[in-house]
Amino acid sequence: MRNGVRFSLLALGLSIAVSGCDLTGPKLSDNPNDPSAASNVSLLSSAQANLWVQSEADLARTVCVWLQQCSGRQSQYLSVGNYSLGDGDFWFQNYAATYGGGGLIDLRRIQSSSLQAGDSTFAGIAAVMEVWLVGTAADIWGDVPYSQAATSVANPALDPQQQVYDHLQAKLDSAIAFLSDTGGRNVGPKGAELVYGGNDSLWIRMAETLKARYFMHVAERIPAAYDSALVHAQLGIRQGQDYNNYHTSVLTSSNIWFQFFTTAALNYVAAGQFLVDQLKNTSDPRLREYYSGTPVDTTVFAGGLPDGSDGLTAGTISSLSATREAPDFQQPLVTWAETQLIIAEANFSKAAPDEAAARAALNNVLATVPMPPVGGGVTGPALLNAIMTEKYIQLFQTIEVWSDYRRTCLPAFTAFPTGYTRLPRRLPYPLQERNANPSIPDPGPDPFTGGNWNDPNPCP
Amino acid sequence: MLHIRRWPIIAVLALALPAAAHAQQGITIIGQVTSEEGTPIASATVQITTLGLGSVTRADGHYTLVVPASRVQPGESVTLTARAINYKPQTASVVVTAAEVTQDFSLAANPLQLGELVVTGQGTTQEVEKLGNVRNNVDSTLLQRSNEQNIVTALAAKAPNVEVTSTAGDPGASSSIRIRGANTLNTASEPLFIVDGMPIDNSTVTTSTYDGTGFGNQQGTFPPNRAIDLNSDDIESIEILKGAAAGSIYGARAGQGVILVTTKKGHSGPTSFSFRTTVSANDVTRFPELQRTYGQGEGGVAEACVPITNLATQDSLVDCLGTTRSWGPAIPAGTPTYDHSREVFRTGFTTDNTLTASGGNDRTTFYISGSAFYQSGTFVGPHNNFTRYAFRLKGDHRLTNWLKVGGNVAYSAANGDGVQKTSNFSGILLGSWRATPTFDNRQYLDPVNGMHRSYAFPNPSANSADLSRGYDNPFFTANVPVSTTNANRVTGNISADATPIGWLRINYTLGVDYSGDNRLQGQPQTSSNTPLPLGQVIQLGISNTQIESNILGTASFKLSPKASGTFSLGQNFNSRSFDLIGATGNGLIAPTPYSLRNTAQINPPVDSVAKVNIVGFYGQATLDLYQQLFLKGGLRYDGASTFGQDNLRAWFPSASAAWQFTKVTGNLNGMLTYGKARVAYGEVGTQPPPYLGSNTFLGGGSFADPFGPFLSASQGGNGGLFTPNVKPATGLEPERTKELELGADLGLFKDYADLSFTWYQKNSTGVILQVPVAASSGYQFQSANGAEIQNAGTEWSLNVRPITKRDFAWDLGFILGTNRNHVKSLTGAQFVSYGGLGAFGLTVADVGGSVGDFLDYDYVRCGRGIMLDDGTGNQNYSVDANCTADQNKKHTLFLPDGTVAGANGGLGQGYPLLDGEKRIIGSPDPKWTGSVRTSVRYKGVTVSALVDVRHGGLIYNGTKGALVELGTAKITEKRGQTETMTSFLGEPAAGPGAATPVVLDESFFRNFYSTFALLGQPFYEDGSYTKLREISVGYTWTGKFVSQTLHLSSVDFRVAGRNLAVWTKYSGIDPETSFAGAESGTRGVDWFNNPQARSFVFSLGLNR
Repeated sequence: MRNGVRFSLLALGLSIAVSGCDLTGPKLSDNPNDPSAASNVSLLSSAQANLWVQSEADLARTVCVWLQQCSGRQSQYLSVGNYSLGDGDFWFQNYAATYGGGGLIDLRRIQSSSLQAGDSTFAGIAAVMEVWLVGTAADIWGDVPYSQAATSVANPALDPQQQVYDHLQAKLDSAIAFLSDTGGRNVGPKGAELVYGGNDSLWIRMAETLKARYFMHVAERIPAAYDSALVHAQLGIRQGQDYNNYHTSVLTSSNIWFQFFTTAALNYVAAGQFLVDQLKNTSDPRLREYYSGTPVDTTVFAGGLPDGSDGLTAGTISSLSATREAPDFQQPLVTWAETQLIIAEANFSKAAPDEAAARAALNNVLATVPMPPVGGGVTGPALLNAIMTEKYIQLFQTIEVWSDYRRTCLPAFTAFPTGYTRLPRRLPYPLQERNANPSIPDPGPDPFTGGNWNDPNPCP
Repeated sequence: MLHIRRWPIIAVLALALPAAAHAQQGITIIGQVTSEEGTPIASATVQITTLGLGSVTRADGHYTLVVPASRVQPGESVTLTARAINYKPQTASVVVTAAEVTQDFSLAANPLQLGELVVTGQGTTQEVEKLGNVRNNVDSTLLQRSNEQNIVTALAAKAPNVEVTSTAGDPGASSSIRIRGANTLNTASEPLFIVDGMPIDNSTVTTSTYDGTGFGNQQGTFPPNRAIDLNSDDIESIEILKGAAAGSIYGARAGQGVILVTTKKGHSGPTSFSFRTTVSANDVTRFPELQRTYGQGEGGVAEACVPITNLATQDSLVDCLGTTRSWGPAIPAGTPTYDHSREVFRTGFTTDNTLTASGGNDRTTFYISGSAFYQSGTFVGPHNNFTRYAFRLKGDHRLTNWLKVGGNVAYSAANGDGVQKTSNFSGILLGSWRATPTFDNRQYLDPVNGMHRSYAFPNPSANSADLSRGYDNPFFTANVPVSTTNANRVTGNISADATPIGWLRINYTLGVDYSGDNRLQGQPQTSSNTPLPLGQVIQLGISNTQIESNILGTASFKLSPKASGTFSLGQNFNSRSFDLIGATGNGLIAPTPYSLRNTAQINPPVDSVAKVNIVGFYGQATLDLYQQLFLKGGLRYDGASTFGQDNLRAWFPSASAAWQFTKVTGNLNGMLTYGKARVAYGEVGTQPPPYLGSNTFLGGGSFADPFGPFLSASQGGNGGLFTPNVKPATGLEPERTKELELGADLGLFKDYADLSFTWYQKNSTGVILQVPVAASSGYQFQSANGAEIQNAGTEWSLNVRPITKRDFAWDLGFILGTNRNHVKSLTGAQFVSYGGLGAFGLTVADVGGSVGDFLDYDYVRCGRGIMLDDGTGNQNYSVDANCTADQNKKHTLFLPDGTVAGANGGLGQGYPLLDGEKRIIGSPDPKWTGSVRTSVRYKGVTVSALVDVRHGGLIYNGTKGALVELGTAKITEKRGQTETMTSFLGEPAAGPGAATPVVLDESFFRNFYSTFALLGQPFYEDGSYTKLREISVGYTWTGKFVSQTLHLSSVDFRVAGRNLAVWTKYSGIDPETSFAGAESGTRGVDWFNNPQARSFVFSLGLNR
């Protein structure tokens, strides 16, 4: 009897203990928090948000300071203004976002799954977004991973910049073909694509403008690209059909410039002297559209030097205007004005220059500002300067102004700070990427003495 | 404060009760237990082992043991054994009679604790002399002397190579513990805590980790580590299992060591009561040096604040935003300035009341305790406090002669409210120390309209209800925002201890540990740190559940008189679940309350579940040969849900041997009374975190700008999913640490001293790291068993007892630990990030260096192959060519002639240049740590002290580096002075500008001598310190008045001080600091961190 009690208790104990074994199984290792599959619409939602952050965040502010549309006032942006490139890891976020979630890896997922479903509209839109992301990276870093990027290759090799641009042009051609396809299964993202509502013809025009943009990027090397750019620009974005980033006044959808200026880093960046003076000198109405008056006196507009060495204070320097600093400001990124100014520059610079056409395209843009048109007397370098200056103003807050400057050295800047003779021409490859990817062994060409392939001639 | 007043009343009631256990009829044995010198020994047990009966001595050494009449007849003889810690047990045979029998014991000292049983994990025990590994034991006396409520903090300086870092002096702030160096890269890894056989949660979670801004534990407030729920008065003793051989019985959970906590229990005999009340005053003694000579402004130009015009209406407002910098002109004589370095501090108070009662009879024993702890912190304002109520009921009952069952339940309610800290525009010290000297922070509200004003925003009006104040006024931070934690915790287990057959013993424990914590962080409108200065509410619910089942069978055998041993076999099942749900609302609709429904925009909520199961089988065999050689071997076989599917199970072996060689050598004329050599080898593991291998898309995510702004992945009403930046891991295994430990324990000079020495080397392989992968592959990291880390070190402890007289005793204890951490491999990567402040003070693990090394920017120095821009835009100027060979070797500071430029241009001849490349600056790890403990007893008075020493290791004084840029650091008073860099920086210089004196102007300070200028090196300081961690004077009052008039057995008085003095070269607020708390592994980073406090403690104990 007593032994019976003892051993039944022992058995009970063991059975409780051993029953635990069943609880270690494959099910427990599955993540209960996140889905293992994603629809194209959910991936597109992320990809759009990623694109908008990349086009409005750190890199855009950096270019704004370097191109003297902004000035660095404090802390990290004083370093930016002083051309402190460090190891380039300051801009790692932009680099990584090109390829990672919401970037290339997901845009490729969208393309392959929508093509499988026969929805070439969806694939076409994703392809255009891919080109935009990678084209931006190629412009900044030069040779970048592309053909092997976001594939199963662990250490994607650098593709020569020229080859990347070639691939992007081909990619845009196929995107345009996809978008032109009218098959019954071409549903596209419709309203989930928040800028053009999934409209295929608007996306085709967007793709044509991007073709023109990326031909311009290589034109310093390959002059024939001016002619190609002209052809595609003429098929590009029409007035009123700009690609403006979608934002609302809800914080999680609000403009990154707004978030940065109002909350994240007060007074780190303010107005830049060069652009403020340019707008003041020409009584350009965009002075008030872009910038606010100084806090001390709103009728006074003052911009600072890139490195803040101007004696201005928080009270005596202009910032972004209320319009540009609004949470729901729809940031213009790929526009009719850019398209027109590409037409102008391409006409001016192509093998058989057509200054009249160039002037006409410039005047189309000036009329919308409105600013007085450029007369027939403005020719040669003065005309190019007028075109590039206008583009510099029109493309305020975008990184294209940096690319334009490296190609044309216009408008002419004095480099800052002392000790530097010219603006940075590229970003070094970020340390994190060099650390992890043996295919990228060094920071690349010197950012001041050596440029990317598409920038053979340094500006003075 | 009701809780404080009520406890003494309860105590008095309890003490007024008659001693309960006398009720039973039987035979009474009384007596006194003393030392050989005649000192009464308190808390000694007197037991009749054969009957399972026992009693405990009171403070005067007297005991009363009642034997039920049914169990023994008059005339029978029973064997009594008296035991006390640090004394040799003594046995006496007593013939019982119907009348009271007296049996006194006089125990010989046993400072080496030979013969005492040590808990060794999973229910196993072993005698001290048989242990093959070093023993580190902390008993209740030492815990009580520490005056710490958090048992982790209480372990500071108690054992060699057990490094405890308390993060801050904030009430309830977490402490982290690291044993024998870092052997994992999982930054939140802490040792496994086991309380009475039940593993308990000791996690630390910061509320703002989940607010979506990505700054996580660098901001918000200091949360507690969950071991704080344990009432330290309940603890009998703590065993620290350091090495892999000792911890191996816990297999895959023992990788960071194991802390075995045993709580007090009841003994049969008269019920004893103890009431202890402690009050302490806490204050801050170290402050940064700030200048009070120059006012607000920049470039020497005053700019207090300039009125802003409303852009929409063009009305001029009184509101104005001024510069946050103090680079203005000299403050005119007569202008009041304020002491911003110390004005936000006050003296905080702590009260702690604990009541315990224990007792029992021949079959049943019980222990109950209740405690109320309250602490107000050292910052002004009402949001700086921690309250904890803790209760425990522990009992056991002998069902039959062969079966005893027990239960142990503890409940605690821990509530705290904290102040915003560190890297945070609302951080209290950031706002305090950056403030310009002429601004009166105390007037944090506008006297007319009651709005939040700060030095950069002094005149707010209704128009600026939604504007940031630059940095929040520290008094606003102290008084207005809330950040509360409300945790309720229940830990309980039932156990059975059976001896069905004489040689077989079976233990079974089934327990649960549950805690639920509701967090609220409310930041008011105008808070500068919130994504919109319209206020923010974060609510977070955390629940943590752990279930443990453990069965152990132990068989004893005796082969011959010269060979005996045990064989144990056990099985262990453990299941843990960590659930949280949190939401952040931005934009308060009305100024209060801080509730989510009072916010305009609620971010996507964060919810997650993490469940981990582990099943282990373990076996252990011991063999004792010739009573001098003790062998032990163990094996554990673990399966866990977080091991990869290909490696579901893993083996963890261990073996140890101890040889008491003095059995052979003799005692060498009393010079060596005891000598044991020991060797141990073991393997332990660290489990991978859950779900690293699962291939999922991220939901509820966002895309962020490095400065904090972000867009949600969900836009326009469409849910966004995207590929996470961490690539799914394949085939993860537990991290494995293999450790060899050698040592000796010696009793010297007739036991007047004892010395213990240990050497160890542990190799941790398969350490899981987020291997950086090429970002161009679409991912940034992949978890893999990639890294290899080695730790090797020595540990010494020496105890000396020069005087052991009845009325006068003196003892001294020294401990010393060294550990060398060495990262041997990181799977190809040169370094991986290991916490830190992000842009500044980055900490990394680097190959060839150690875990936690600092990676930062430096000046241009000789010997690094640096090429500079020679003025033509080309990097043609070699620094090394302009330094001597000697200077190249020493990395001497290079000063240029003004024609060459570094990363940030340059200021000209004689000024330093910035190096554009980040370099390893050094390690926060100390070269050695140690402590000296002493205690002197004269009659009833005991004076004791503990001095804690940390030698070496860098601290990043980022606070100073930032305050230099802000213009408030004391050193910026040198502005305008002319000096050579050699004298300013205090180091030799080379190069053409080496001897050139330069003007220390604003540009130099801000752009070439501040953390904001891509420069860190000058702000890494020697973090060595010597701390008078504890000092106390205690008096135990016994005697007739106490026993006959007060009806007590003793009254204890104690006056103590904690952290009374710190000797350090460190110029910041405290070299013991951890800005991100125990949640992060970051060590040695000081960024506006809240300081430690000094305490004066008074305690009164009534015992019966």
